[in-house]
Amino acid sequence: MFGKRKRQSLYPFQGKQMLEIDSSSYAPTETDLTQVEDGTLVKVIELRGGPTFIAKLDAMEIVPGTILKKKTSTLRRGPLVIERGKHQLALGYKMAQKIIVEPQEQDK
Amino acid sequence: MKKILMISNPNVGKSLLFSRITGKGSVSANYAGTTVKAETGKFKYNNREYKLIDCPGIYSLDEETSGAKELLQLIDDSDIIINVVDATNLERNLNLTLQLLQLQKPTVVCLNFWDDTTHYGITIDVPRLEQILGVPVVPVSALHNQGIPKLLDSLEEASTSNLSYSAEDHWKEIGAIIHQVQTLEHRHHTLTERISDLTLHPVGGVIFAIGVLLATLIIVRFMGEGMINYILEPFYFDVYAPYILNLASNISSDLIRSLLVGTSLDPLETFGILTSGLYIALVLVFPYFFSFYLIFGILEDVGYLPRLAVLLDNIFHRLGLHGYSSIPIMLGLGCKVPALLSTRILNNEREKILTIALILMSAPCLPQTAMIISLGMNYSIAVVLFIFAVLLVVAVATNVAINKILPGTTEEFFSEIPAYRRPSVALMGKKLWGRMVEYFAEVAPMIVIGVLLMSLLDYLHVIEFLTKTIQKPVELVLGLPAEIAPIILLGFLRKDVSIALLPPLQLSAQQFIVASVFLVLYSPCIAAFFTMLKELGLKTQLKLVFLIFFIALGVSSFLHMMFTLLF
Repeated sequence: MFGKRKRQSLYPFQGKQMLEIDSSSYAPTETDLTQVEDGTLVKVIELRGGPTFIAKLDAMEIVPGTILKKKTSTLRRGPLVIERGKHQLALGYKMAQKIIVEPQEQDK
Repeated sequence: MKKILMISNPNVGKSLLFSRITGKGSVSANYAGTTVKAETGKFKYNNREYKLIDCPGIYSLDEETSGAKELLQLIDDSDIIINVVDATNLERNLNLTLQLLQLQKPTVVCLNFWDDTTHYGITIDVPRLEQILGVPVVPVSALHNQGIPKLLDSLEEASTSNLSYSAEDHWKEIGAIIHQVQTLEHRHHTLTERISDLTLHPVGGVIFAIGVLLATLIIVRFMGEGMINYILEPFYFDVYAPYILNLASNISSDLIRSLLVGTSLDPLETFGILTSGLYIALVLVFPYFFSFYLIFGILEDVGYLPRLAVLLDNIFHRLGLHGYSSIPIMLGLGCKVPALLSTRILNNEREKILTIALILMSAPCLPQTAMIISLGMNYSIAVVLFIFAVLLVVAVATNVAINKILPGTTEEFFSEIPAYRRPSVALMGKKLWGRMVEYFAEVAPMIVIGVLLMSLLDYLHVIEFLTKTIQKPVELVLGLPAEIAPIILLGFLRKDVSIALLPPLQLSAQQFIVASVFLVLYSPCIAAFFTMLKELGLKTQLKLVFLIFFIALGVSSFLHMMFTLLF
């Protein structure tokens, strides 16, 4: 990282070009469960955790492809409540951060 | 005798079903994790004797799941499996069912909460499900005691299944099964769902929780005091004591007589096991124990507790605790004994120790709180608030410290939030009865033994000796008059009484604060002491008790020093 910066300052007129290259190497924005609004319907895309984490979620039928609704969050990084059908589950903030989701079309 | 093992997801009614079949009382409540260890019972049906085993619920037999290994061993040892399934949540429950069927043990599937399926607009094609699974499927309502004979009939037809499925895509396969057997009608948001949303709301939920807590404390206080003043104390002083003292006067040996009934009419002045022992266990501790469990049972069965745990989890994590610890701590505001007993629901030892430390230090039990408030008000409201503020700071600081010292971390919160249910009065009554029986069978005898020990120590003049020895140090370190020494020793028997004995000492406001803080913290009461022993084991308990005692001493002497410097 420092290396890149140094080069940027040595070749100022190439700075713009390097910035362009840099920006294209940024990862596409991913949303995890803590980042969507309360009440959003989402689809699970990826679970970023170890085998115990995945097994726990699997037992609750939270696997890639599952559709669920983010019900509520608590103040200051407390547990989140999600809903599938009429069943609710609360899970810790850190766990929710490892669940990558994609918002879906909201229906009633 | 055939061994039957009941297996299911948590919170699907297994324990109640166990209770219905064996007639053995079993504690069940509306949250996952109520059953903490396996329970065994026997029953007879159609002239056959069976052994029935109830164990904690589990979501999956995946080896990564905690408890899976132990359960697999239990399954190996059994002859028949009853897989209890929540009919209102068939999809998720089938995960465990399919895993169980792979084990090739004779199995019967029991669809519990059958009565609720109509409420929720769920229709299940039972014959079709039987066909697919290859084992008997029996709908049952454990709550309404329906369908159980049919379940027991099916035991002899328990079979192994030919069903095979791909573990990789297990949810897809389950989805396919559901599609064939279950139909759902669209339902509108019900009232209970709206209430549930309110109680989990980040702000509304907290306000509601505070309201529930206050209401609980007020109700328990009234009930507890009412029982003491109108029923139990009159019984003791007007009926029981005269009778027993009369009987005892026939005993010739002084020693035996004083061990049994003490040497004074006041049960708290001396230590007779039949007088003081009974008085403390029945008149003082029991009413609060009972009242608290009464209210708690309602909250339990309604399903409020997991929601409370969610709201408090965040704060609790900073103390190294888990949201579920909020349940024991809430109980501890009333009486430490049920609080300590309920730490059984916590998963690991570390959380248990931290929770117990917080229970003992965070707040006095309700009788003691009431006494501090009533006496403290004679000085000023600031005195009362200051005392409780000190206690809170000390509790939090201690927990943060223990959290850093004990290795390990607290698990992230991960729990089902069950739907609110209207509790059954009959069931709650049964559960309360069971808890009271446990109280008299386990807790009360411990109190009596403690009184016996105190009595022996008193006879051997050890108590006199101790009182004389601590007089000087107490005066010096805590700034309190020498007369407080026997009160400190008495406080072990009954905490609120020790506070009640302070007025004759004519303490200044500062002295009252120091005395109250010390008396609250220095030791758990005799009932709590012995309950702790049972939950933690001797070594850990002694460590904790000594730690707390030194903290009590340290904080009180610090306050004393501070007051001397400032005033």
